[in-house]
Amino acid sequence: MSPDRRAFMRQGASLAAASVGCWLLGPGREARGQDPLPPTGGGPQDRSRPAGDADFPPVPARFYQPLPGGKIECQLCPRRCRVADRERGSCGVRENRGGVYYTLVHSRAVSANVDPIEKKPLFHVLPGSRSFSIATAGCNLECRFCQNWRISQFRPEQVEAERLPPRRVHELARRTGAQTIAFTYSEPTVFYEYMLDTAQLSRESGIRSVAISSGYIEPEPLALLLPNLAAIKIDLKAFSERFYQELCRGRLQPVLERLQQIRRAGCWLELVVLLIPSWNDSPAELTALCRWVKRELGADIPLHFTRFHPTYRLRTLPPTPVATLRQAREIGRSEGLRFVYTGNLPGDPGESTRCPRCDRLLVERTGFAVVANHLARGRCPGCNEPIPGVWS
Amino acid sequence: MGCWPEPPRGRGGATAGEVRRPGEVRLTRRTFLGAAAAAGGGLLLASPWLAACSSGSPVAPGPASAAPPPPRPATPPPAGPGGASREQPAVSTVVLARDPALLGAGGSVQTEGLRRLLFAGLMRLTGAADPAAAWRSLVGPGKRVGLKVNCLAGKGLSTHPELVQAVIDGLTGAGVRPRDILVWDRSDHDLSQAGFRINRQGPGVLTLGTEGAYESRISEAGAVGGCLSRLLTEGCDLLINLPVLKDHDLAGISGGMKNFYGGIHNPNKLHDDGCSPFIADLYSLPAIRDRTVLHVHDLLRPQFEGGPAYVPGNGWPLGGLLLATDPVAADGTAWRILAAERQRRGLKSLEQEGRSPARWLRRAEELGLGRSGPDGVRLVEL
Repeated sequence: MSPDRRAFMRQGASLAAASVGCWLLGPGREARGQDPLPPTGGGPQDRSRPAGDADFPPVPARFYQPLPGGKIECQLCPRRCRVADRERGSCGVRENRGGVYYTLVHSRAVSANVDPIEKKPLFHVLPGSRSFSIATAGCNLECRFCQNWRISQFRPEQVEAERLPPRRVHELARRTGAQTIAFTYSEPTVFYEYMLDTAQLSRESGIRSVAISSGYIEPEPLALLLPNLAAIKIDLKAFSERFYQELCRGRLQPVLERLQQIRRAGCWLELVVLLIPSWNDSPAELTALCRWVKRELGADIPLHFTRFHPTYRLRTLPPTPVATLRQAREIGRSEGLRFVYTGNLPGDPGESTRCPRCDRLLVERTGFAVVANHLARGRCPGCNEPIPGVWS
Repeated sequence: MGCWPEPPRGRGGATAGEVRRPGEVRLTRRTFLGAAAAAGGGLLLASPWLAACSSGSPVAPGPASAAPPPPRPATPPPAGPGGASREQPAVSTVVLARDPALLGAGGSVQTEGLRRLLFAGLMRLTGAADPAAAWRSLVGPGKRVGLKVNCLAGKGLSTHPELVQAVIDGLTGAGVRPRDILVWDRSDHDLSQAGFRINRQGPGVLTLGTEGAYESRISEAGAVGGCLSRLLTEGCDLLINLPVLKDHDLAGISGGMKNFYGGIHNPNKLHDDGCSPFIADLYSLPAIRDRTVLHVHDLLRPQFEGGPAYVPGNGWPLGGLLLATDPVAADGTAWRILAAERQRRGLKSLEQEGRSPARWLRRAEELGLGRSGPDGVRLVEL
């Protein structure tokens, strides 16, 4: 064997010990380059257990049904994976071990950052506040345009992680001055138990919880979660089944039904639509989407049209033209939606909140920064129009 | 490409003008249907072994220690050792070498007998006159050789370490240095559970799991997109694929091409729609297809039902190895073998259970990865 090859193996072993230990793991992983060497494995370890079990003990999962022959059916999301023993669901983070389904990502944070809440984006929730943001590995969709695919499309044992139990999350959030804890970056549905346990501590700690999700979840787990959230942002990927099937390996209809459920439950809801050239940006589709939102969810739901950048498995398309984003915003406004924004377009007027009645500038934003907040106890200081949201 | 299966027509048997040698079975459309349509038909199987399977009295081949038959190239050898793309022969040969006497009590395997069986099968496949020449026809000098095993299901249903040792013996006997051989799978844990001793730093043959060592770039082919194991792309020049045959609740069977689910970071994303087209698309990646020079399916104790997890009592003592250079032919034949066993036991066929491998095999044919239809596969039994 060449010296290079042997060094490759040896260094792979030595890196294993150094692969954990940082709790602020950076803003997602999209900017990380390739590790020069294998990042895990090799050290003196207990091989009677799968890697990671010692540091991150598996926790029995919620929402599954045992089936004959040792299989289980996961009932967390609409995929309803039927999982054989020793296998995992499509999310890659829930595993059948002898007929018992486990989550492998409880308290297994791969990212922990303090973000402006505008980054989520949640524009009608505590503007200018900090949000302690956490994620684990895994996702139940596979969006070809995922910006955070280096965590969402990987298995837990393939990504560096830090043990961050729910109480520790609240403690760190308090220490960093965050007013909310956000479950974000990847897909919190797949770390449901971790998210729920953390959110249930919000009443005790006073730090509220928000979720940033695709909404690809079954009704029962969502119903249990919502009372523990101050707000939820849903990525409505498109308004066509074809898009969901071909680009995300999911379905649109369950997402629409969950949006209605969230609205009925009274949890604060904002929507984001990432506009991908030629895939979901036709005026006809956007008009249909806006009409549905107004009819089923109401005119007060903030709707964000955000800019796509080539990444992951959709690298040949150009970024969304600015004109397309502005046109989408105009479609939303003309259809009667009262709060329509542009996103990923720093400096665009469409990032700021204006009074839908008198057009007064209420919250001025540049990128994720709030330049000025003129709201007066949730009302327009000019015409006293109430502005819906979570303001205090 | 040939789409199959089709309704039976006429009677099976040798094609006019075709000369068969003893022990060689050309799988016709009819014999294929007889096996694959298992529970549906009960047709006679042209293969003596498959026919014996269906009657419940397996025909044991001669002992592996018997003198091998005169060398005869059963299939054109690869264009040359080194893993470059190879042209497909008109007919792909699959060698089924069996010796149930290899299996002892408690799952033990006679290592010397297994080695002889493997070498005899490889000589028949390559037409080489001796084992060293057979191995050298696949693996050129100075090449680093990866042995991809399948250890996901634990000791009861993983590639036997005895088989891996036999392959290592063959390679070293042909001049490959032990330190240029890498036994690998997804994780150290899986390998350990299957009875392999982890050896990351040598000396000797390396044995290790990929763990987190995946490429940072995405390899894409058709519906598949993922990061390949760096053990595969950087750790070896050539691959010998050593899967274990087992029933699979989604794909129908887990065989050779599916074994490379253990070489990509996101196998959990490749199980929709009966794993089709994912199994074929994954194998079509040049990093896999162009490196893989040989498939040796571990059929010592395959599992006919309840997979991919190990289910004690669902294995049967076949004592076999399936050798091929054509991955599609090997998987198609493996399916027929498993189908015959299911039929013998009165189980529903995989088609009846809605998990036929036909779709991903057909996709593999369309991608030019090989042939599995009855007109394209010649089965040689030892």
